[in-house]
Amino acid sequence: MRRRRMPGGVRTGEPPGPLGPILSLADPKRLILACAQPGHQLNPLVKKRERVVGGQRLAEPNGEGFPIYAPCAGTVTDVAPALSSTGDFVLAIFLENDGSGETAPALPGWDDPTDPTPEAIRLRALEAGIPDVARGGIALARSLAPTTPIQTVVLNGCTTEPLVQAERVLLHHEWETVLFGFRAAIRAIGAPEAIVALSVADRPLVGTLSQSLTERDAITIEILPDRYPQGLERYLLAALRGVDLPVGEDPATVGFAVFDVTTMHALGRALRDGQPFTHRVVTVAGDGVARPGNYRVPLGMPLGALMEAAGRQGTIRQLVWGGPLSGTAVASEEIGVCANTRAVLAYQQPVSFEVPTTDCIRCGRCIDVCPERLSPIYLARYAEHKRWDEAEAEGALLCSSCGACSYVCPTGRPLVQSIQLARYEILRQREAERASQPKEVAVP
Amino acid sequence: MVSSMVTAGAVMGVIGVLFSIGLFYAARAFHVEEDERVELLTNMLPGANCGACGFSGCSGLAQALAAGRAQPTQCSVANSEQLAKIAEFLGVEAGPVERQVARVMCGGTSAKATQLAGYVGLEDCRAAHLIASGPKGCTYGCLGLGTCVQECPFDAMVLGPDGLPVVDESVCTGCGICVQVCPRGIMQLVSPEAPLTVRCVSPMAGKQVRAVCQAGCIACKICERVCDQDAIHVIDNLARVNEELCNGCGACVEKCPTHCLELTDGQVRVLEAV
Repeated sequence: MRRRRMPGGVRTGEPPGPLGPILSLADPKRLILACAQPGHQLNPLVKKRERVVGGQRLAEPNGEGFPIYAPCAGTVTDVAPALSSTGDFVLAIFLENDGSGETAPALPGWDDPTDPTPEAIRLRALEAGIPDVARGGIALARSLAPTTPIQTVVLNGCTTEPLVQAERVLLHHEWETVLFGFRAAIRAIGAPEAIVALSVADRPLVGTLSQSLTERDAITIEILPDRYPQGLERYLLAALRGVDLPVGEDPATVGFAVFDVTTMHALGRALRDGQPFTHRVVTVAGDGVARPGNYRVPLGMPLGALMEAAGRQGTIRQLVWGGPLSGTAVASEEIGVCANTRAVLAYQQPVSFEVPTTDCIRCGRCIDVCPERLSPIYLARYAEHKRWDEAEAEGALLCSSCGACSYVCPTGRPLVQSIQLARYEILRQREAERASQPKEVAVP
Repeated sequence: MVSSMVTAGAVMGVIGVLFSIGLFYAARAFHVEEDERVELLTNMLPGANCGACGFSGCSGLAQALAAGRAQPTQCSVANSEQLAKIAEFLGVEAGPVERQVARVMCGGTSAKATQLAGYVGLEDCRAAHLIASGPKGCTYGCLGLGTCVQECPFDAMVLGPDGLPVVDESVCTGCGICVQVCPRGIMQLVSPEAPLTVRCVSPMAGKQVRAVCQAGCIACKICERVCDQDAIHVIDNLARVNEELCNGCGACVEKCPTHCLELTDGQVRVLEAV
């Protein structure tokens, strides 16, 4: 199998070497824990004014899903709809921290990832409420019980996007836990081969990791170029094994299982320490905070509180959920941190489209950086003129919204947004066509 | 001199005759049987090419009509006279024609609805909706970027000074393009005679609606209580009107605390002030 280098992409410019520490926070006063998971809503187990302790189960799935736990002790102040990062209102549990720090006893743990049976690993992944962040937040237990045979399990350690270091710091400082979880995942899936994919910037880690790997592990370490979006599964698998993963398909269809660092860290913690998934590492950056860095944040912490904790400075005019290239702006600080919140960026001046949009100067940089080899400028132009058919023919549906084109555009054109609009419209028209199939009515 | 002119004329004439013979045989060889009714039907249709029927413009519908794959009433733009003519031509029943107009089911003007954030980006409601459901506090309310106005093939809409689109019901043909393009589902097709409009689509509970908009339906059920026709009911946190029972008395409109109900007096609304 020939490896294929990802075309295009942007350099992340990550300096090699050790990263800053994982900063800890005082538990916030209020938490907003969303009870929505892909496809269904959880049943809350607590009522208003009920007292809970840290690690207590707050909501349970009805069907496929996973429970959620209280990150700290406190009182439930409300169970009501709350704004989510997508702008929808979802049922959420509002928790007020009472500062007692009381926690529920941990579950028993294992000292070695090969001790528990695959069944026990899956059960613990479910009981600890771990989502598979890379699969859009479905239950990890489901990913650990694949329906198609899996040849290779991949730990995706190169989800690098400029500024976002949440996953890298976990690998650098807590690689034992990550590796514990990864070994357990390999065992649960029963794959013969495993790969740890790292970015060039993390080369110093190779020595540390390979020392702790044994023959028995069958884990190889692969170094991939320091480019964004190398971590997207489609480009990751092409670079590792030359496999062509069709757009929008799950890696399982080509015999791979890909896990991200946060998920494996959570699994390691759940198995070794018996702790549920209640905290994650979030990169906080931007000129709106005085102390940017990588914080260990309890799930459900409102973005506003996170800004205070990181030293809010000036007036934050733009708050971005996710990385600088692929993230989206959110309209409120009253949104709780979720399992997929890799970064929160705060800016005193809106950074997107700062340059007044001028005409395209036809420099072609967007075409150079597109990893899918699309022509963003033409896609955007078709979208602008509402020529959806042509946008589809140009490949609007292949775009992964990685944001590389908008990032390099010297005229500051909203390229990704235009392509997203085209995709929305193409899919909507398809849906409408399907709904109105019997449009051609037979005349009696 | 004269002879060269004659020669040139003769040569041109011979070439002309040869080409015409060629064209004659080409026309025979490549002749396409075409239903001549299609062209006649295309001329009878309004010619707006709006695509609301689901076919590619008026000629597309004409082809489907001629082939018996469509009904004349699928054209929402043509008036009853035009439809009767088409039906007569095709020899089918025209069926009842119900004129419809589009109405804006949101009263969240820039003064009454909370704006959580500013928006910088594509001037298109769909694009704004895709970014965290837009900058408006109400995730169901009108975004006010005027995509419906831009897409209206009949120029029947304008964006009012209060940030909401306004429909000129005398021009609106009920083609439904605005209904399709609105990412929030705020545009709805109704009969122009419908006396009462609920200008809110939010299914949120009253408390949440209050928090983001002063003109939304808070599901207080006052309208239910004052209606002596039993024509209005709050279902899923939203007042819904039974148009058959509503007599347009306006009792509910007077009592509605957020003024999200609007009476039309059975009059076609025409744009004047805007």
